[in-house]
Amino acid sequence: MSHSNKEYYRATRRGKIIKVVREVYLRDDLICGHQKCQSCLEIKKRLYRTVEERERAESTYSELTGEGDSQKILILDTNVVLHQIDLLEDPTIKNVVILTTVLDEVKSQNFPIYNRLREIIKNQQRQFYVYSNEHSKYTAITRDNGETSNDRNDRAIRVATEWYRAHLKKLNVNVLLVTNDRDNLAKAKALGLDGKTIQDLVMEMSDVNPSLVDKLSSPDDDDHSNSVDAKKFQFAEHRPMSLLTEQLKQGQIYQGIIRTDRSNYLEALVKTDSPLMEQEILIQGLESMNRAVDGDIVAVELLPKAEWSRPSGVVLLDTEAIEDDDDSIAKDASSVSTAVGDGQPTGRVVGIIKRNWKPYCGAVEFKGDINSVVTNQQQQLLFVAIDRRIPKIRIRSRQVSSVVGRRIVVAIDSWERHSRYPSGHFVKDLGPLGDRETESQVLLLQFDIPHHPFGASVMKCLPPPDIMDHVSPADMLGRRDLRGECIFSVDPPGCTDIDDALHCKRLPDGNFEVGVHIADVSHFVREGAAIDEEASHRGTTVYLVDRRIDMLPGELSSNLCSLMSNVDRFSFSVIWKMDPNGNVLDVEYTKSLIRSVASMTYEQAQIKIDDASQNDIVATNLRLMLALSKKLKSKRFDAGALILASPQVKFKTEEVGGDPSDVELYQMRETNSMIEEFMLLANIWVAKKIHKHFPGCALLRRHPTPKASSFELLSKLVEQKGFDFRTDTSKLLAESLDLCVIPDDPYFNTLLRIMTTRCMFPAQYFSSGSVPYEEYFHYGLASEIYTHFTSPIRRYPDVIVHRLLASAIGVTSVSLKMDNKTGRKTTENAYIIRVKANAFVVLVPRYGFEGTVYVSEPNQPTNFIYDCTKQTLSNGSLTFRVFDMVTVEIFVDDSKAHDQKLMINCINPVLPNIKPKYDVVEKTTATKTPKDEKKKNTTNSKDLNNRNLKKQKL
Amino acid sequence: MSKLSYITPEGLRIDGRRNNEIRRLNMKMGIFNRADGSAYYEQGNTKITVAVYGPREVASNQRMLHDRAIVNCEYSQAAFSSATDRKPTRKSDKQSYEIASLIKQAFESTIQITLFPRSQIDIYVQVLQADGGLKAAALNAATLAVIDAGLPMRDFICACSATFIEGVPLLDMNQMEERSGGADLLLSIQPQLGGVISLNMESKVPQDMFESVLELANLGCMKIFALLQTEVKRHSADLLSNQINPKS
Ligand SMILES: [Zn+2]
Repeated sequence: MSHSNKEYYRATRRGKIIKVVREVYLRDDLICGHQKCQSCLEIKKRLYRTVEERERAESTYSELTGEGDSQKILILDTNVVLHQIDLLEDPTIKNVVILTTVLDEVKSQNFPIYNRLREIIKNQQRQFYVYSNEHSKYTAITRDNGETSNDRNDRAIRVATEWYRAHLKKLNVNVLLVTNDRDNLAKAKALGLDGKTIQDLVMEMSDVNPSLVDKLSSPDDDDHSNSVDAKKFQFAEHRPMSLLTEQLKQGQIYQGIIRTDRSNYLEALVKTDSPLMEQEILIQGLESMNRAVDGDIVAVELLPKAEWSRPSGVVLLDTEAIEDDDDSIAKDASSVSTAVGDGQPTGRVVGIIKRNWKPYCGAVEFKGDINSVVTNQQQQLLFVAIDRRIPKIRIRSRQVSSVVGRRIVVAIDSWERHSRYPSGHFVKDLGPLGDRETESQVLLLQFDIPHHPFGASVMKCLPPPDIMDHVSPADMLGRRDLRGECIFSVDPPGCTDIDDALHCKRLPDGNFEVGVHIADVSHFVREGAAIDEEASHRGTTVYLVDRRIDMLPGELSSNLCSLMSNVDRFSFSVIWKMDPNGNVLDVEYTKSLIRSVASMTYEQAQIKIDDASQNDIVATNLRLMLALSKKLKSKRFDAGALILASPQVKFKTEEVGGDPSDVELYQMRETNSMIEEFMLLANIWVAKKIHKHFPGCALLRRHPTPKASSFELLSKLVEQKGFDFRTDTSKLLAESLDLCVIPDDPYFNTLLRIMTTRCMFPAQYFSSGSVPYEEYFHYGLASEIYTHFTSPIRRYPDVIVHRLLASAIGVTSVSLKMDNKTGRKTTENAYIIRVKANAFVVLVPRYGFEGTVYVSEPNQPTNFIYDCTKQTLSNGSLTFRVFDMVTVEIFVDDSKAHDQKLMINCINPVLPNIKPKYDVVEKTTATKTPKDEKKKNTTNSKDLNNRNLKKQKL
Repeated sequence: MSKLSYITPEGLRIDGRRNNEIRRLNMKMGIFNRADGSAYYEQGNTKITVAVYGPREVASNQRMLHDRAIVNCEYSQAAFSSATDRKPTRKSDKQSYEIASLIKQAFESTIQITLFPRSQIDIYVQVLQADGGLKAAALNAATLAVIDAGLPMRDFICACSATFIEGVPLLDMNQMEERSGGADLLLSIQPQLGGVISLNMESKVPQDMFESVLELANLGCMKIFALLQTEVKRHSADLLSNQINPKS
């Protein structure tokens, strides 16, 4: 391995120029990635001694297979990747070498594209291989004098191509450099390399795969049909970035994300972060929107106040309101209401800071006879996205007949000044319009739900399917064998991913033991494994009419984790001892091994309870549980829990996976609420436990108390119906809701509950360190603290909660990632030990370190008077003397992960005329012991309340 | 902005090493004639010289010990050694003191100090260029210098750092990697006796990960040991051949 130094100059934040020297190692053991390469096999043998090791290493990348005359290996340049990522995602493009030069450039220029490229590389079928050319002895180059970094990168790509050609010569592999840069192409040809533009390459491949051509993005070559429009249609030019930055700095223009109105695509709002502009800026009309698409970050200039307007309130029902081929803007203006003068800030887009274009689902507009279309001739089409906020997109296609009447995905490439619509290219065909399968796909795409099949790396994480047949002693470590208990599950019919099971029994002392057993998903889904990352990416299982998109592979969700009857399953149990009134006397958390005796539906369980002739153990226990659950429920409602509703319907299908034939309302039985009651109880008790052990980083769920004002409109409406609607407390609200019943209209009550829910904030997950304890409250459930523990198979937060609980009871160690430092602040008393002109130094006895507290902003005149001889600093009645005690707030500024600093901030007495300014104290690594660290953690929760009060004072 | 990544999915670090590779080592014993023992040591871009004096008479009688020698260590970093902060700060003072006491303790337990009662041994460590792994490099360099001084030792002292970034254990970090905020574990061992001299870690690591980091650090120590041993052998052979046919 040879070695060299990379040297460059860098300016520091203060403008000092320093020389940076970085060591670079150039390797001779980087393999080319070709399956049949003999010389690289030798290297692999050297690197990995055993065959298993080698196979493991080989499974982490995909190998190239191109060989012989017909097959070639492609080396792409950066621009090809940046512009043609949709094309590269097509599975017919194979055998591609991605150089690290290209990868780094893509990463720095467009991170989302980098991520997409990484996804392709990860897919073993795609045969994209990453060659670390910048670290290879054979291909690394340094920048020549006078060479621009672009030229250097192009040269690096050529050098690597040359190496590949020589290296694979023996295998008779054709190595092709793909670049659209003419200069680069010419230079490559001069070196005797084979090069092509991406267009030529795709044309060549189009014999086999004609749809590839449509995926080609064509940003640079001009669309001639547009030049006709040019005369009559023109948008204002976007200002250059440099001008925008300058004007933003001076406050002449504002920056924000543009949000197009859902019901009127000619109107949009821009919310800025500027403190000068609290209101959202209204943008009206196509011309003012100036080619901004919903979600883009735009620069907006305000119109003169006289031209300010109000949202028109018009619902544009159909995009047909404007004729497609009529490119005039005049018509748009007429549809805009002209209430001027006292309107809200109104502006126009003068530049785009950042595009947020995504692939869009929709269909092409096509009028006329499909059969009359000449095949294989490129035609212009207009694409209409399902999302009405997205403008129509011009696309070109060679196979009009195969696009019309289909749901397709289209990406925007560019939006020229003289074009009414952006131009884009075809990405993917989803299927025929209106087809259930297709429209499901559309839903998934629109809501960004990952639904691709699980990858090989995820499937590799799965345990052998027969793992539960021979449980090893290691698996039983810290696990209780509860197979002797009479445990059963109650679920909706057809449920295969059974998260929860329960048991209940009468104890000799007249009390009850109740256990909730939740599938032990975290046992199989180890933190950081591929399966874990995939699950956290998916976040939840999504249920569609005819299928479900699992968060975890079926092998886990419907088998190994699912608590089915008559098989051994791992679970995580919460077991309470309760008195007959449902008061919890004792609680135990344990991992366990269970064997459910019955999986019932809600209906079956209900029948078992109601049928007095059934007296088997399951029936008896069910009745016991039902009695207990009623006690629990009434206690909860006494505390003010609400019955909220969301429209829940059930689809009836003729056959499994068939089209739905009817929709019916979901029927609630006693058993439903019985199960719900125990799940709530488990969630609450787990929340208590993890909060106790991880006051700073427990994953909890809260439901903020709604503001009185949010119910105003609804209560007015309800009062008009003749009901008394009280919303002061959740209890009053619950009571009013119960009373709002119209006998003839049973749905009215549900409707009211749905509308009440709409008035509230949604419940949210949070980290216990980020919010003071009194805000942990779950309004809807009237619970002081709450979390999600009971559905780990289909909800990712539950998996995290399982891990936290496991470490809280000492089964596993807690991971680094959990160590969330947000909001860790602690308040301490401190003594002033020195006074300076604009600051004083304090000593915090508890931690034994010193820090400086500034009384004014740096480089600003202070309004404190400094008396050097008496060593005081005073401002009116406020005087700081040495030996004075003050209260300070201490916290870690971890905005820079590699450079954490301890900050001090005086909170009592309150400093006048100054925002709390933080001083930097060195992290006292030398003296800090782990014990100190621990102390700090535990004080946090206590201090949280404190802190919040103090903050308000400030 | 894209995040800096310390190791690519292809398994290469920013400087091109794999996770389990140490940096290039370059060393030479006996570079100063006036000292009893000395060494120059390079680990990547970290460059260190060490001079050892002793055993000699104790300078101040108060600190003298009647049953063994005392070991002193002075550690300093040249003002030009690092690219960023040219001025010595309070922080670097504290760090210097910390490293000096680390070296002192390590050698007190490895040199057979009971053979030299009422005397002292001085180790002067000077960092010429700093690029991470200073503690480990200083210990390794001092080992060479102490051997050069001919002091009887129970074993070598080999030290190596390791960390845990982005889910991967990394061996022998350079300065940039040290700033990642990873675990930053420092292990120093007596490679032949199999003893651990010191084990420090700057932050928390999950227990199961800790073992893999520790194992990696141990592997690094053994690699360094092999290289130190080669240098000691080469140096001794040099001395020997000089004695057989003195050049001047
Ligand atoms: Zn090869």
